[in-house]
Amino acid sequence: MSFTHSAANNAYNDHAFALVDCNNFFVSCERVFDPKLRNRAVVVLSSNDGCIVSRSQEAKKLGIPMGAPLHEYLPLMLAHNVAIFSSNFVLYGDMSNRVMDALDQFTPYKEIYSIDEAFLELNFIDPAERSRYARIIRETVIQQTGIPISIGIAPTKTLSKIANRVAKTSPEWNGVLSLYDAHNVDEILKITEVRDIWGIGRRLALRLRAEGIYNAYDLKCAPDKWIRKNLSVTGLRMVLELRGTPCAELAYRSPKKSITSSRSFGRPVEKIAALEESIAHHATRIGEKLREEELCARLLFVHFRTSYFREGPRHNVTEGPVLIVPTAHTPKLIAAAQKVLKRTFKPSFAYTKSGIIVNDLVSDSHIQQDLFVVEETREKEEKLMRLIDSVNQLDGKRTIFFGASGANHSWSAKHDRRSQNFISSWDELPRVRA
Amino acid sequence: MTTLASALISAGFPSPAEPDAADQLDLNQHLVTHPIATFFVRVFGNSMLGAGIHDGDLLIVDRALMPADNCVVVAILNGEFTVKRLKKTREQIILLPENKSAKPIPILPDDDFEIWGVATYVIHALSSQQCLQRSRLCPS
Repeated sequence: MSFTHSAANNAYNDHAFALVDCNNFFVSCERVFDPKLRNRAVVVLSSNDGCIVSRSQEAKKLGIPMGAPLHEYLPLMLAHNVAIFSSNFVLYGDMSNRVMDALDQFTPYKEIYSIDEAFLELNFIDPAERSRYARIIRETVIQQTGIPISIGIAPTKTLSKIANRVAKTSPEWNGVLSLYDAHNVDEILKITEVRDIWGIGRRLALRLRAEGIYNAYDLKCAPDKWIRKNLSVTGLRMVLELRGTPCAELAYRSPKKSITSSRSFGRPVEKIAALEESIAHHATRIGEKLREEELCARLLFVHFRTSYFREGPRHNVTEGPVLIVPTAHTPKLIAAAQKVLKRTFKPSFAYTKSGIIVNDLVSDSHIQQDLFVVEETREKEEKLMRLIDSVNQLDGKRTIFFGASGANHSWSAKHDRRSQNFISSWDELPRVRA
Repeated sequence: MTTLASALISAGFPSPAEPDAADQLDLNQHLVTHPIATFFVRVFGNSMLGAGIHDGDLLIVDRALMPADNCVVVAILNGEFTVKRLKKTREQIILLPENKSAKPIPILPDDDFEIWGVATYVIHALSSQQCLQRSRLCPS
């Protein structure tokens, strides 16, 4: 069954997914506020300055791979005057919200897939008009936010991902590719390697290659029986999507919107050490709840206050949101929360309550692994968390717990090369010459 | 949210001091028409004094607006942000300063030029910081 054939049936007309993807998102955010970066190679590092997670086109051309360790490529980058930035998550989070909100001007049907990607449903636009509509979306988002985006349009999510990739990498498409007006969809599938198909990891790609399946076209043409036997039902769904039959709808955010852990103290506390311990405790509880629900959090609030009823000076803090790498990992939650606490804590108040709230929850299967953390690190983290959870379930709560004092030093993130708080600090606004 | 009617019912009479979020004027509402496309920038230099833009002022920049002739714009000229009045003729674009000591800047074909956004408002402190910070007891 060919894609052009399926164009004739109804499924083709009923669905149109557009994948909007911000180009080199973190680098693009930096470039909006620093014009000097526009014609220069730029990279952004992961949260502890460990590896490279975003590269400008110029940096890609220098041969710097995604996820490359900083120390390995530092000499090359210095030699080529590459601008190197630590992650500025507050900035990226704000810009992400702007891009996502800008998309609402064009469709109410939107799934925010990651910090820099969203699926839109465009079935209400005539098939022949979809690429024109997407061009308007693209121009508008670029003008309003300064963030360049690419858009791929297709009858299934899997195909829209492929269309997006081609739109982004082949200049002839100028950032928008609709498979509804591409003359030969199979040619596009042929230039898409299996490892670049949505949902195919490194290991599976190797297995497929060993079977002689090199690109998306090969996979699309593989016999159903073979697929079911070798790739299970998930694999079959993926292949159906390659053939133009949608198997996944827009997934809206999980119904659970936020998780709170808070508690009043037995007696008022004044010292930061006590608050730190309580915050670590709440972060631990939230990590457990997130993992129970198979969710990851993106935003975190820290709350602590003095009594509303007692005499004496009052201090009531609800600080946030701070953007965190989507996570359910307890040490990361503790580190993020304690950092906020350290920043906002004032001595000599009698605090009576503390807590943490996380929201912007996403299903952990939606987290894209390679963006922030090397796959293996993440697997290790997950294994550790599962182990701790299972021991705690067997032996009662807090059999294994995190020593809060150890948290202070080893988990605080490095960010030596962070750009200004262009959006979030009055003292660090972009400067324009008059 | 407390409405006048509910304040009457609960307290017997409306308290003039009762804060009501819905009734409070919000400067964002007045100054920011397109939140997703609006950014704040800080000015340095004196080339736009005639337009009421001083060194150290805060500018509100709206990227959703179309830069028309005579708008004050924030532009990128050869790798640097600059604020000037936009003069568009059929033949060319000129960035006009508003200070006699500064010269108009015609945009040349070789220039790396881009209009970043339209400056919509300027926020200018009328007194020194020292003066602005001296208050009678009042929660800030």
